[in-house]
Amino acid sequence: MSITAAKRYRLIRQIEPYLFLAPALVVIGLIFAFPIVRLITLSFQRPFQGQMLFVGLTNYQAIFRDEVFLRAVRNNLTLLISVPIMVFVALILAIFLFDRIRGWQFYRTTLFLPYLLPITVVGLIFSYIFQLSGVLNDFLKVIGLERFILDWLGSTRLALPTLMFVIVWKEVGFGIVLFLARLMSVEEELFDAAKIDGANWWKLQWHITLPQLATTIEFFTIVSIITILSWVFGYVYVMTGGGPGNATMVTELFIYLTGFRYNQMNIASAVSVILLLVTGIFIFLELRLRERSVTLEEVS
Amino acid sequence: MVYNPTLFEKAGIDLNDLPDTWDELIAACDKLNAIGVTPISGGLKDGWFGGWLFSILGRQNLDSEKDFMKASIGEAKFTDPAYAEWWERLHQLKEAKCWNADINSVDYQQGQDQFVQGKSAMIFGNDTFLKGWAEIIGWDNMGVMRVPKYGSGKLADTYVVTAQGLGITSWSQHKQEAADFLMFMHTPDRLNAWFKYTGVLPADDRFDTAQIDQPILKQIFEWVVQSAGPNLENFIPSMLDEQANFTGTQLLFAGEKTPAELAQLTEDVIQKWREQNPDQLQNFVNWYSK
Repeated sequence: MSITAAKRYRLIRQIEPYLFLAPALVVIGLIFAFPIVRLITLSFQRPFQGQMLFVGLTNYQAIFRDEVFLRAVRNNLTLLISVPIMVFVALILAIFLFDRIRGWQFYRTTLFLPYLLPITVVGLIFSYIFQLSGVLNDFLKVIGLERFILDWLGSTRLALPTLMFVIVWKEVGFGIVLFLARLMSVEEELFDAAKIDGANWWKLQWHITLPQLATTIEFFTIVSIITILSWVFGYVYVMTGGGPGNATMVTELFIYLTGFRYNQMNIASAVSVILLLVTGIFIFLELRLRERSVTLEEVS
Repeated sequence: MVYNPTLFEKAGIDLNDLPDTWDELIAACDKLNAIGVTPISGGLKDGWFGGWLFSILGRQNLDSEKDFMKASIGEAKFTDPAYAEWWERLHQLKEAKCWNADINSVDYQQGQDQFVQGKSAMIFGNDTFLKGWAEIIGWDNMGVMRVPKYGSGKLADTYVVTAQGLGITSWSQHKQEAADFLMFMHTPDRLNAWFKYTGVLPADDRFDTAQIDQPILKQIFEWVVQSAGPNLENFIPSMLDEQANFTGTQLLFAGEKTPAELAQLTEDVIQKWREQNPDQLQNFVNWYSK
């Protein structure tokens, strides 16, 4: 082999991996990179006389003066209360199922079922349940608890907590399955040894179950935070439309309305960039957590 | 407005002397409430009905759709009494218990369904729905009346036409063909076929009324021909409709805001729209000036 041929061979070997990667990189570029760059560009522009003009931070300043946007952010933050509730409920139910209470297999399927249902179906069903003249209030009337009849979705005070209840009801199933799967992979000897040492039920949970579930709890917490920040559009759109009086407005719905109903794509882009950044932080945390969990498993 | 004649008679409302002032409407609400019937039903959860209420009630003190464009571009204020009064009038209806209690928790369609189910005596409907309702409850169980008046603007006497308009863009390469197609859709044959297959009155005053056999539809067509007026939602920015009319009516029925606060909310929203949309504002100014 001549020197030139050897050089050419080395060059091809160096380029080869990139050629294999190229199709995937092009697809990723088109699907992710281009829209993100376009989104960021749009967020710094505004239309004027048929042209897009660079306006610096004007769109960002406008949204931070917009009461509806600030309300949406406050509502998203309020909805974050549901995260510890989801974690706690999922944890308790997973522990009971792991203890193989009577009928645990039936309960496991039943508790996971809501997670499998489409959000639109869940939203519609709960809309009928929580209307003032809906199933829940009819039931309360039948059992003589009229004083608890409330306008669950029509009251500015109750609409957001009602929405939160539905989100917890649907999303908790994912946590249960995650926790249960992790618990089933814990070596039984750990529990047996603790029992021989005289540990009661509480001590078993405190000293074995919780430490073993720690990384799974962290993972579920971060995934739930991401869900609440950027994945609740379906619930809100179907159940309340953001009302009454913006009481359940969230950033995703705000983006949709601003972009597609008010035709203000640039302001919608600015809000999307903010949402992307905030969600990105949590996605980064989740990835770091996954790395740590893999390292821990390798060490153990 | 569409009403249920059986429920009206039961409540002692004279079918030959239907309410045509605001006070008479409130008196009719009292009579219907007395027999345990919801006077008017609607649904605000999905917002749209709030826009309708604005278009139907908000017009009564003003003379033209241009008045609303004028306030949108900042040459008048939505807090001016002529623009703001409809909030007070809607509030009066709420206080008089004219509406279904669950108005905020049901959507537009469910509100309308309460009328069809015989649970309410009146609705702010439109003629496009009449045939569908008649198929369920029969034409005899429906009557139509003009919206009772509180204002004295020229628009107070107009009948809101909800027809959707088709336009030809200035950049179209086939303007003539598009115009020819629209003309074709308005030939007598097409108008008759439209009515035959949909049961909905065509938006064309040349339509042959001999095709209409229902007195209710004949009456409505007469109103359309004599006093057609614009749907005001088409003459305001959609942000104003959503953030002031949709949101405001929900807040009013939730008891969260007074009529004066809602008028101020409307003005705040339109100021925000002007600030955020110089381009759209310029379009509105050009449109208003024409």
